[in-house]
Amino acid sequence: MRFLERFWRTWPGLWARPSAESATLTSPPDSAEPLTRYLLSTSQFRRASWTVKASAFVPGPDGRKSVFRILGLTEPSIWKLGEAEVLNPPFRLHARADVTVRSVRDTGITLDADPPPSRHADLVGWPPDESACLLVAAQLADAAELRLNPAVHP
Amino acid sequence: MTSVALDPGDVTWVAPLNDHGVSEDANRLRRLLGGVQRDLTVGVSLTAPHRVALEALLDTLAEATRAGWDGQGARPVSPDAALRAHVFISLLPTTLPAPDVSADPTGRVHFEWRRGQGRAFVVSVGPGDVVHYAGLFGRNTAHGSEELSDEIPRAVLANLARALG
Repeated sequence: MRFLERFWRTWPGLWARPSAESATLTSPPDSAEPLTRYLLSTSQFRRASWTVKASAFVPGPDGRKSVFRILGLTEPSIWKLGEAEVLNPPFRLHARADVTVRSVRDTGITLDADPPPSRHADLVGWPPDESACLLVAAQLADAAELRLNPAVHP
Repeated sequence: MTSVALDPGDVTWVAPLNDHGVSEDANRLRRLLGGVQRDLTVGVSLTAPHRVALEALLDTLAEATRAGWDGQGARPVSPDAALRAHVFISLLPTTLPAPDVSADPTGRVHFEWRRGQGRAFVVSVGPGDVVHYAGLFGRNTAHGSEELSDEIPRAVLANLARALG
């Protein structure tokens, strides 16, 4: 019995319905839709407090921040998506920062679906003022939920 | 009491920088990191927060001075930005807790203090004289830009105190 409990805790996504992964992504996305930012550097999050740093959400020089829409995906599928679309050697997929579309909209920026891949999107519409941009990044980091990759941080 | 001094002529090189470049930038960075590491190991009186912050800066620079250090196309932290970040730490009041240090994809160095959900303050330091800051104080926020000279700008300290208070 104890074995089964442990097995179930370790592999909670194993019995998820396959159809969940083909959930329709609406346009515009629903406010409750989850997004994730994959983190390949340990400097972008705090493992001790399970929090994300603002630097993880600062847009690149092109003024966009790459995220993925993870609605309907199981936990193992979300990590597989990151491995397939973001991970490149010698880096490791350490963690992800999950936010909702609502928390993105609350900051005043927007989500721009940007396939391929089909679930890719960018956070766009960042303020031109750099300190305002920093504030948005800090707000997103504050709203984010950190998830550690169990394959890297068991 | 803190007296962190940068000696531009210092050629000490002991930091484990993952950079084998021979450019002037690489040489400047080596000198800077060598100076910081020397401060940490010999002869310089540092408070615990400054020491923690300097060690975190060294860790950050060891990773983020290469192009694409985040695996997603980030710009490297330049020697000028690293120098400014070092200066920023040396100017911090000794009474403040040590900040978290990280780099962002544009090559700026971040100093971040967090006091739980909705209470955080972050300063970004780049190669120029201007530092940017942003603070979360519950439902209120603040942000701005200030020139970094020979002291931490008052607006930065005031908002930091608000976030930590």
